Order: sequence, then C-alpha cells, then structure tokens
Amino acid sequence: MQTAEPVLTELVYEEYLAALLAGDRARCTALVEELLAADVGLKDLYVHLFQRALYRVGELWERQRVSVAVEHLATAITERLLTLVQARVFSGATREHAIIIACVANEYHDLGGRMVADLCELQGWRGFFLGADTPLPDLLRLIEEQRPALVGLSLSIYFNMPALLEALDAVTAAHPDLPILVGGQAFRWTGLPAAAAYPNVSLIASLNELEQRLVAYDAG
Amino acid sequence: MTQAEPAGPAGPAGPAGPGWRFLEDSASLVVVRVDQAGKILAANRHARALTGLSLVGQPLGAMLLEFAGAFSLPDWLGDAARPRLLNVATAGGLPQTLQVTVEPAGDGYLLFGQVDAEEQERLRRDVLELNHELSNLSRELALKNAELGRLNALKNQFLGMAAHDLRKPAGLILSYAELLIDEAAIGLTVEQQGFLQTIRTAADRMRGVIDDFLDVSLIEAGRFSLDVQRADLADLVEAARTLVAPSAAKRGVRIATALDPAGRALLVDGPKIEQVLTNLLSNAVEHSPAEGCVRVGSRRLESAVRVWVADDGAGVAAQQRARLFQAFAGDAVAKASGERSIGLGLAIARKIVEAHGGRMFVESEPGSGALFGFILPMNGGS
Repeated sequence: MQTAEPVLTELVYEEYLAALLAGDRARCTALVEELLAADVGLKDLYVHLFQRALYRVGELWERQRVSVAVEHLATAITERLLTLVQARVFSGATREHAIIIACVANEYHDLGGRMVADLCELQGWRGFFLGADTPLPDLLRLIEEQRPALVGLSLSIYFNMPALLEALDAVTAAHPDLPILVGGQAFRWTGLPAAAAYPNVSLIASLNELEQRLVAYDAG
Repeated sequence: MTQAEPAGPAGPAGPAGPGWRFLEDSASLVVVRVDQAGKILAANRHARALTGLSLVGQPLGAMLLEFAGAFSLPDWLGDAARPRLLNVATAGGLPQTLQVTVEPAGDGYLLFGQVDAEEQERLRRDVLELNHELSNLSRELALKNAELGRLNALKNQFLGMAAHDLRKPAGLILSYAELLIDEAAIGLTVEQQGFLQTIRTAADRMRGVIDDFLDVSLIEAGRFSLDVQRADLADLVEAARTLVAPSAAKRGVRIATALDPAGRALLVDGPKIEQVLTNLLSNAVEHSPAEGCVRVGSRRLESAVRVWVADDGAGVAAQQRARLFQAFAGDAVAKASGERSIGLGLAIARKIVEAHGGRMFVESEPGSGALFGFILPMNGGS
C-alpha cells in the first residue's frame, strides 16, 4: 500500500489563510471541499486549518494589521465551513458519555467552544454545545437534564473572568463531584485565579490535552 | 469665501483648502452640491463611488431608491422629520441610508450624508449573533441527521433480520398446509378443508409480505445490485401473468396483452423487472371489479420503452398518487376486496425501475380505473 501524503500541506494552509483574509468564502469552501474529498483527517482540519488560520487572523487584528470586519468575516466563513464538515463529524460517534460545552455570560466568541464540542464528538462523545453568552440558569438546567460526565467552559476575553468564576461556583455547588474543564484564549498568559478553590476544575491548555483527558476518562 | 473653483462639491461657490480636498477626495462621507431645484452641481468621490454614477447634472433623485413618486427637494427640505434621511441606491446593490445635514451654499445647498455609526454597530452585532445562532442550529441539525441516519440503518438491520428469520417458518406453514390439502383432505369435513385453505392463503400472503420486507431492507441498506442481461419483454410479461393467473381466475378477471414488437428486446435485470410487472399486474387484478379486464401494453419510444398495466378499478385520487410509490403508504388505496396493503410493492417497484435509470408513472382519476407503468431506457440505463 502506498503511504498517503499529507493532504493539508503548508501551501494549502497559506492559500486558505489568504482567501480567509480576503473574505473569499467561495475559495475557502473549495479548498475545504478538496481536502474533504482527499479524506483529510477531521481533527487535522479543525486544528491545523481552522484554528491555526483563525489564531493568525486574531493576531493580525491585535497588531492593527486587519480590521475587525475582516476578523468577523473570517469567523463567519469558518462557521459556515464547519457546517460542511459536521455531517462527517457526527456520523461516526458512539456517544457513550456526554460533555456540555458552554461560553459563559457575556462571551460572544463561541467558535472555539463549538469546535471543542465537535472534537469531542470525534472522540466518540456526545458534545452538547450551548453557544455564546449562555445564561447560567440554562447551563445548570442542561446539566440537570443530561447528567454529563464532563462540563467544559470556554472563555476568550479575560475581563469576563468574573462570569466564569460565578459559573464555576454555581456548578460546583450543585454538582460537587462533576469535573469541569476550562479553556480558551483568555488563558493564553494566565492561569485560573484561585485555582486551589476549585479542586474539580482543570485548565486545558490545548486541544491535544483535551483529547488526552477524554481518552483517560474513557479508560476509566 | 474664495474665488477659486475646485472641481468638487465645494466649488464654484464653496470654500476650498486642505479640509475640503479631504472631503472631496478621501472622506467616507457623501458631499453633494445641488441647486434650488435639486439638480446636482457637484459630487465628491465617495458619492460617485457609492452610487456608481457620475451624478453631476442629474437630479438628486437619481441617486435615491425609487419609492412611490418622484423625489422633490423642496418637499424633503420642508419636512420636519429629523434626522433627515436619504435612502441611496448603491452600486453594490444594497441600499444604504444616509443621515444628511443640509447647509445653504450660494443659490443652492450643500448636502453632507453619513452612515449612522451607532446603527451600523447594532446591526453588525445583531448579524453576528444571528449567525452564531444559525451555526448552532445547523450543528444541531447535522447531529440530528446523523442520529436519524443511524436509526434508519438500525431499522433496516432489524427489518432484514426479522424478515430473514420469519421467512423459513412461514414457508414451512405454507408447505405443510399445501401437503395437508393434497394428501389428508379426504378425511376432513368441508369446514375443516376450508380452515386449511385459509391457513394456506394467509401463509402465502405472509410470505409475500416477508419477501417485501427483505427487499426493502436490502434496497435501503444499499445492498441492491442489478444483474443486467438481454431479456424479451414478452417473456417477462408472460412469466408475471402466469404468477397472477390463479388470483385473476378466482375473481374472473381477464388479462389482455398488447405489446409493441419494436420495444421487446431489453437490457435489464430480468427477474427484477418481472417482479415489477408481477406487482403491477397483481395490484391491477386486486383492484379490478370482478369479471373485469386488465390490459398490459407497451410502446417503443425514441430510446426507451413505455410499459403499462391498466385496470377498471376505483382509480386513485390526485392527493393519493404522490404517496403511492412511498414505502409503507399502504393506506393510500383500498383493494377491491377491502383488504389494506402494507404498501411496499410499489415502493420496491420504483426502486427497481429507478435503478435501471427509468421511472414509474401513474395515470388515474377516481372512478375511471388506473394505469400504472414504467419507462425504461433501451440501453439498460447507466
């Protein structure tokens, strides 16, 4: 058997990034469709194309190199592309355990959380995703209903930390044994404040780390 | 006021200077100078780029969206509504609303139009939020589709397993009922012989239903392949006719055949097309009035053959016709005997015909019989 060449090359990434920055939705879609036709690994697609390109766009925005409109359009294009991929993401999962992923109140950057929920599906989990600006009562209600094995809270803006801590307090008070994962861009340069106060909360620094946690849970 | 005459909206009567050059050449602000009647005397670069028009010499209404009636500058100026708005037809096709400040200039006016930044910000936030919601909904939809696909596969697996396991006992009941009728009936009363006939008929029907279940589960699971060979339509029709002959004879229904000699040589999976013909014929016999006539016909088309089976039964209403070829839509038509069908036969027939690159059709009106048939390409499909 021939060894498969990686389909997601640096050249493809550069072309995708250029199209994303130019707001060229059609070109981005065509590139992703080509990758899907070439059987790209879905996790590779999420991590090495979608996430990498969006991090780059965010970096350019922070350096005043691109406008917020470019950043918003890049996000919207990526959201659209996720819908192309999701049919495949959901088709293989066995879903023995459930994880609830949510963005806390005031958090409008929900793309990362959605990608995490999809990657959980790829790992065979049922990934519930609650979306941007999740009101705390809604989160608590879904936890009651679904009794997930894990809860993941995403935070991208550091200044929304009080809302995250409020959510952690409420969830741990109602479910003291429920493990909670936190992660997101807000933790790029900092850890979780008062981490010692939340023994059941873990900070997840990368998608690989998340995957390891899910595998460890499955292994019991 | 300067006597210089810049090319933009400030001139010839307007002011000049670096600020005005910025307004004329670079600012994302619409600046136009109009006379008392509303004719545009000058327009800055942004106004021309936004509208895709040269503007100068045209009425102000030329840059606006056409609503009811022509735009009148005096009426608009006299209107007390604030802020003053103008809905501009942009070159890009999306209308844009400008908030306009009017300043007297010479014999006319200078109009400064800008987009309401706060409104744009609200709009942008709302669009982003709606996009998020839409993305989440399509994620849920994809998830539900995947779950439905899994449930459907499970259903087919169950259907196939159940049908497979039931087929043998149903066949045994049928065989032993026939054996008893043939060999042990002499010692039985007429009533007891009737019981045996009922067992035989019911077992036969049960086996037919089980066969349909097996066919559907194979088709739905995608494990359905064609063995395409040369076949004579007349042979296929004759084989189907032989199979339905007993039930036709029982009801006194006659089967008349008139095939077009030009379209008899087919490239098809013979047994499967025979199954379609048997299904259509047995439906026609069942729905025919007693002592009626079922007509089988064919006609060669340019590169296809049209085959039909017609009866003089109760016919099918228009709203029922659409559901006839769907699986388990058996409540659509009641048989002449009043019995209800589980409705798989036509769904299976349709799958077989479509797999050959053909299509099924039905022509019928309530009260005037029904004509069911199919069109098959002569080359055996793709």
